[in-house]
Amino acid sequence: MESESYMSEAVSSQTTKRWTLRVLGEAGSNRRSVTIAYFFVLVLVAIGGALAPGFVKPQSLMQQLVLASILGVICIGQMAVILTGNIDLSVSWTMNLTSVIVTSITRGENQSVGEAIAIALLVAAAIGLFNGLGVAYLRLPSMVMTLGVNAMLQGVTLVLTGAQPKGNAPEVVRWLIVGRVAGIPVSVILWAILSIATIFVLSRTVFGRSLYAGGSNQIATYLSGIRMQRSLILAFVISAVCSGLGGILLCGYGGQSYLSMGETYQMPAIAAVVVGGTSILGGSGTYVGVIAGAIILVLLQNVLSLAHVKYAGQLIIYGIAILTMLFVYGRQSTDRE
Amino acid sequence: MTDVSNPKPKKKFSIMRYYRPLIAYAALILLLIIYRSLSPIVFRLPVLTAMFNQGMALAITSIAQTMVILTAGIDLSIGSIVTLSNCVAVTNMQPGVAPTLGVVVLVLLVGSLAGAINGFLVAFGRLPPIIVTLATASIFNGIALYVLPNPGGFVPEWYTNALTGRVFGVIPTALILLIVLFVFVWTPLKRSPLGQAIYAVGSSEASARMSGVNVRRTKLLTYTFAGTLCALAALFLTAQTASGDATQGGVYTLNSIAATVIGGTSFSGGVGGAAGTIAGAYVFAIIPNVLFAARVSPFMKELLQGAVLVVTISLGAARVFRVKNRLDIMK
Repeated sequence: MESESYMSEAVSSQTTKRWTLRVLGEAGSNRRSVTIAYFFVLVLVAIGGALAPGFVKPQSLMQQLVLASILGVICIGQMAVILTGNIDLSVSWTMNLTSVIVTSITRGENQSVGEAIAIALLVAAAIGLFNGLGVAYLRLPSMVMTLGVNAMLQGVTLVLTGAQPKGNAPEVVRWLIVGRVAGIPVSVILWAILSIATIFVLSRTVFGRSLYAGGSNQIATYLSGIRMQRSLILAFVISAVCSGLGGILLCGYGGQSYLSMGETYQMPAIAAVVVGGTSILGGSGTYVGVIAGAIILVLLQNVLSLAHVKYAGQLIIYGIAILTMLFVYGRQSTDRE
Repeated sequence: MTDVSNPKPKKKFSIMRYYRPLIAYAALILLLIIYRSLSPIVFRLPVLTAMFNQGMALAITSIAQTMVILTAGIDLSIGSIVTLSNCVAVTNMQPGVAPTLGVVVLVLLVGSLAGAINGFLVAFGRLPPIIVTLATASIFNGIALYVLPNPGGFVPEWYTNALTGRVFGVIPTALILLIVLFVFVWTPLKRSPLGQAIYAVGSSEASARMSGVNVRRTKLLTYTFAGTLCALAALFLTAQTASGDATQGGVYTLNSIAATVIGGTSFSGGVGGAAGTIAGAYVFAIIPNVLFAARVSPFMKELLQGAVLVVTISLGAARVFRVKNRLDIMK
């Protein structure tokens, strides 16, 4: 009874709702962490330049952006899910499955590439829908749900390909990575367009704001009359489609599909979102920061390779870097509950 | 007048209290029956021993994961601690008994230290466990690669035989270790003040703190002990594989989460325990054997393991449809 009266109060005052959302939005913008993230980008570029002068040439930096674009596109979806206080661990095999679908339908030819990409992205959307339905309606913990789905996708991919994926990436898919429009790589342009769309959706649409609201306080969001379940499902669908797109881009980058090609993107995607200043607990963060996060992770890896740090050392520094970024702005208060 | 709104808590034994772990055991028994019908030699001693050995490392790491999940945390570095401990073990082992036992102690210390680093960062650094352990996993893996750049190492034969064989030729050592672990480590721990604190912190951190539970100390000790258990699992794995490999072992992170959840431990913390987890681990470990016996393509392994995971957690979702007030499920 009591909860109902709260509800009618909340629903009746639309202005209160708007105001709440605006406040949540301001809390979410988190300028300080974004500034720090971009500062780290500059530091890494400077270190890279000091190690090898060729590193700071526009062409070399553009190559870094191409690599970052694959991670960045995946991060769009991962961020949407993390904002709601959930996580998507099915990135790696969603990427792999879409890539395999594209290469096996087209068999390296250009003629059916449009359909192949459409089918691959539809399959990805279906995966996201499945994840989202489980998390939103059955209220399954997203970590376990997506983990299980990831294992199932691995099985599906293995069965489909007989563990030997065939076919090369068609020219059109290769063009997404190596092609240039007005001197700028296509994938970077694609990433830029998607980034602007993401920033707009997250800050200016009801759906975008509902992601922040749901991640900050589920009960308050529900009582405000926001249909969180729809937003949750949409977030998971976006995440899977972004992973799928990332898989297609990676397929173009490598020129073919191979098994467990997405494995090296699951954890970096989460790390990039967090390094970009998004709270892993949900409710706050900006995509502007996540762009920096994706660039930082790619730069870090390449700068360490430039410095001839062994893979073992790279792993250690990678971990320490994430912890450092967390200490700079990720600490939670003792009384968080 | 009887107070209807606040009935006295019933002390009566209720089987419903244990239904989640029981589901895991039911699944395990069902799986064993299917396995037996496909391959009649299953319950012969050598096959049974091999089966116990196969699930052992996963069972121990899953108990570690269960402890952490009980505090409403998560440990994504479990696989890396296993890898690191495994590499430390194989690079230091000697043919003699005394030096090998020294190495065993060393490995347990390494695992505990790794766990303590996690615990320290989570409890005193006030950082979210998921991202802390993601970062430390990378660090531990890097250290493991420094310790053992190429797969190999030395493991004395007697060590392998002692851990993976049978005591008196009848009882698999793995079974004895598992029972010892459950009866003499887990059960006393669960009943100790620390064990109760683990459940309390997982149920409600704020309430636990206000009731005088030292939340930081509890978390620190939980992650540390989880690290110790990972080292123990690695010691068993070392005996089993008789070698070390810095690129393997990562599977235990995600599989231990799966086994914990199949075993009925709640992901939001405070509910569950090692009994169900052990069954969950063996369900997960035996699936490939059953598929092999059924002559199903080995590629179906992941598909089926994933499906088992999704179906088991969905069983726990029944409560969502019973609640009258939607707000109850959001807490």
